Amino acid sequence: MNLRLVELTKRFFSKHGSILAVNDVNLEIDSGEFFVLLGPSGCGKSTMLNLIAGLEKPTRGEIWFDETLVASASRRVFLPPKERNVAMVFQSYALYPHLTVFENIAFPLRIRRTKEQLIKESVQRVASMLAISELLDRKPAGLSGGQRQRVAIARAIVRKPNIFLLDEPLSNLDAQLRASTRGELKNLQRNLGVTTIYVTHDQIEAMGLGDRIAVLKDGRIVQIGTPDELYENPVNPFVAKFIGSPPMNLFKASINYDKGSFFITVGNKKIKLPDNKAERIMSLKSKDCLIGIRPEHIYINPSGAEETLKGKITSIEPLGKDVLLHISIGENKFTAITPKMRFEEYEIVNVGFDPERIHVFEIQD
Amino acid sequence: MIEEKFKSVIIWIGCVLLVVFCLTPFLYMILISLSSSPDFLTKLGQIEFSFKNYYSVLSSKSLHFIDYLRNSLIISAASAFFCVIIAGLGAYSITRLALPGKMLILFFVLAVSMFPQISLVGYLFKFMSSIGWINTYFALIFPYVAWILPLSLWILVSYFAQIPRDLDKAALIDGCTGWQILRKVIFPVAAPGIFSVSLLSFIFAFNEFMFALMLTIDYHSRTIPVGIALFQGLHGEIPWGNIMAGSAIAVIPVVLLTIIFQSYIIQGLTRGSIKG
Amino acid sequence: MEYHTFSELRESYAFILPLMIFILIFVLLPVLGTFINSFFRDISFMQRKFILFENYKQLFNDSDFYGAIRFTILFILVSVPLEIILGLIFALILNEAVPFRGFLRACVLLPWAIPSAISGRLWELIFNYNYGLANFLCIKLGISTGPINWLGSSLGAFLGIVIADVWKTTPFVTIILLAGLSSIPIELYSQAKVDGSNFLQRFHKVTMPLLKPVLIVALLFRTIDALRIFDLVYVLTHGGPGGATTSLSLYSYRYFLAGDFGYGSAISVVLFVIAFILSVVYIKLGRFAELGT
Ligand SMILES: Nc1ncnc2c1ncn2[C@@H]1O[C@H](COP(=O)(O)OP(=O)(O)OP(=O)(O)O)[C@@H](O)[C@H]1O
Ligand SMILES: [Mg+2]
Repeated sequence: MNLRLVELTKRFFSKHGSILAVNDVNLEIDSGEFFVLLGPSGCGKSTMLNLIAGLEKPTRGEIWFDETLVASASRRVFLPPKERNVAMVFQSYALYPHLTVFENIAFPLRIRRTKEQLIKESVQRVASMLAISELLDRKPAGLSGGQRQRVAIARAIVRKPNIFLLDEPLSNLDAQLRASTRGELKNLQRNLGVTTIYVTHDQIEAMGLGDRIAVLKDGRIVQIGTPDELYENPVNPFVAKFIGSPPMNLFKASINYDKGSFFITVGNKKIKLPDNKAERIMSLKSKDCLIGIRPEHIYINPSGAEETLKGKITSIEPLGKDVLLHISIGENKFTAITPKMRFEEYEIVNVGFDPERIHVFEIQD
Repeated sequence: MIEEKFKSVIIWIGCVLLVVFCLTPFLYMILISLSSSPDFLTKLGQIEFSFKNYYSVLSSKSLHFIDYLRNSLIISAASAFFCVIIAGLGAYSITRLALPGKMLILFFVLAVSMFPQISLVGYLFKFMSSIGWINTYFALIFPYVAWILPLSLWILVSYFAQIPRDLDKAALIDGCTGWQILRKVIFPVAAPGIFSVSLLSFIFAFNEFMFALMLTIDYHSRTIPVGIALFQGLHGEIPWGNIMAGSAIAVIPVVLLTIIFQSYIIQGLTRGSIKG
Repeated sequence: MEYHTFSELRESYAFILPLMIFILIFVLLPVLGTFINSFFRDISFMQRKFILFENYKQLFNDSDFYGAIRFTILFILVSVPLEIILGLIFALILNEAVPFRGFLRACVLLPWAIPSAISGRLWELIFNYNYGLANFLCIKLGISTGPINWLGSSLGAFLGIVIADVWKTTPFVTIILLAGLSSIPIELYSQAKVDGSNFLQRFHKVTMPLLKPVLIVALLFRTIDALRIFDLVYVLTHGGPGGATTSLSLYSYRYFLAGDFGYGSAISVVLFVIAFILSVVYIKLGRFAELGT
């Protein structure tokens, strides 16, 4: 099922004033797509899911499921969750504590007055799909976090929903389980082919799972794109910092124009920016800007002939195969990832930037 | 070491005194109900024990003891039932829904529970007279429900507030209507609280005296506390044996409930008065 | 936007409506009616007449009314502290690792659980002059040489009511204080022990300060409840002898019973106002704010 959000806005009122939790969001999600909403805590991700599920009513804007208008403030349309046939998995799993695992999974079917025989078959089908067939007689209190999570997913998929919504479903699992479940979840979604919206604040999860990702900030969509697009071409420093780990280095610089090329000055060296950035640079409002370079695109003691700067290593973090260096060049501090070699603290090294990988952003306040 | 020993002795003595303090009157009640004469203490040894008092209380048609007991059981059960439902709905809206001023409602209801009964009973009498309900079950059930609601509401709010909001959301998405959320999720999950409230409501209604005294006239609706309070002898002498036998039978329901479900009663009382 | 908040409002009111209706019709309306009625001469079979403050004026010259106030206040002053102290002792005992814990708790609850009209009857027998348990024990234990005229003398009747009330309501205090005690973290006691304090010091420095909020709750609950005492005096002493144990509730009830609804209402309005002030204090002192939000 295809999902369309048009100028979707949600304002919460409270004693202390009002909060725009979702602010003028326009978005189209294709049928069968695995779509991720990514953003820091409090940016309105859960509110957006709730709006899609029908748990909240929009203050403004419309929500379309295929050709059906399910919510519109101006046209006074609002289908309750019951009539939208969406399924949702919560961070807290929200299993019914008084029901057995079987009854938890069967719950949505029972509410819809499904035939007993069919309920039994359906529950057993999804239970074996998620490898929880042995747990059917237990109560949620007696399950581990990972098992509860599977039950929650089973309950969500048992009735073949139009849209599958997941609100940080992995954040209560330990790191190892999280990684393995991520893979299973992706496979499951591929097999079911259900349009899926997945909320997370963890960019690794987002990059690993999403066909496309929308990065949110303060209720607005900052950028939508495939994981690669977000990584290669972040539209602003916020996305640049949010995607990639460790985050991109950002520093202020002025751009100079000299003999048909643009330059920046770092330390006391001039670095030439690639010509394909010219258009971007021309569009800047001032020649002062933010320059970004990812740690993995900084080269230490490069063997090639490119221009290098002198930098001092201030600390060293081994990462196994690679090593993360904190380097200061003049007033600027950088992090760099480089294959493991012998480094000493306070050692002076040659630092090279890959000019092709330099990002140029407007300075934001 | 000495302090520990000393302490355990004190506690033992305390326990014994506690049991004596609480149970002696009950024992006395049972002894008198079984003896042929109330002055059995002064004539220790000369009194025979029998179930005669019980027999006469239960068999005498003119005493209407059975009628009183039946009235009490029906009125208390009905009051408890309506109280739980109505307080459950109220507690749900107070803990879940976007209701402005809901804390105000909660405190208002708390204030209501502090009203003296006497400031209602005069008007209630006139009101019930005017609609012809005096001496009917309704005359007691409706005021009882209203009277017990505040405590029930407070207890249930403290239980419902602990149920995570996500559970409601999950139920909504699974297709429940507002009613179904209550019936299939909130009430079952808060079952211990619902049960405490039912017990307490039943006990309060069963024990109520002033309304029953004022709003009933005879065995058609009179409850057992009033029946026993007004139980007088025919010939001047108070028939203590009969009264104690009647009392012993009358307290059986509440005593059994208290003994079997003490933990629920304690939970309910605690949550109703101290914050959950 | 309006439609959204509005529809949500409608739903929620539907849920809380029955509660509000019940309380409105069967509690608020009667209280209001009583208030209004207190400004009327309203006696059965007589013309109802608006007399403004006449009932209240009469009240201020009514020595029996002062007697009822005096008894009610004395009763609160004597019985509530006794109940709190005894309840605290019981709670301290039950909070220890005592054997037969469940049995003891059930014992404590029983006096509270039975109708006070029935316990009133029971105490009436216990205080019987000729063959009651009270006089039997007093003589056997040497407290008194002859039988005490419990219910026939002012002091005796007062004490009788206090004793019966303490028996009946100490359990309630015990349960509340027990909940307060069991919520005090054990570590605090261990810490105090490590610091070398003795039993009494621990009670004074750890138990009492932490129990204080709960004690206040119990105190005010009991005060308000004692203020409206009716069942026990009605059954045990009928307010006698000579009106010595007539509480405000009972005094008002007498007028209702006699068909004088105006004067009876005026008395109960006075009681209501006192109870209301006390309950405001109670809500202010009790800490209820976190609930329900
Ligand atoms: N029912 C509500 N009433 C008032 N404000 C709300 C309500 N629900 C959410 N908000 C506010 O809206 C904003 C967005 O909340 P939301 O729960 O959507 O954030 P989120 O992105 O899911 O954050 P998190 O990662 O912490 O779950 C927050 O500032 C929050 O305080
Ligand atoms: Mg969230």
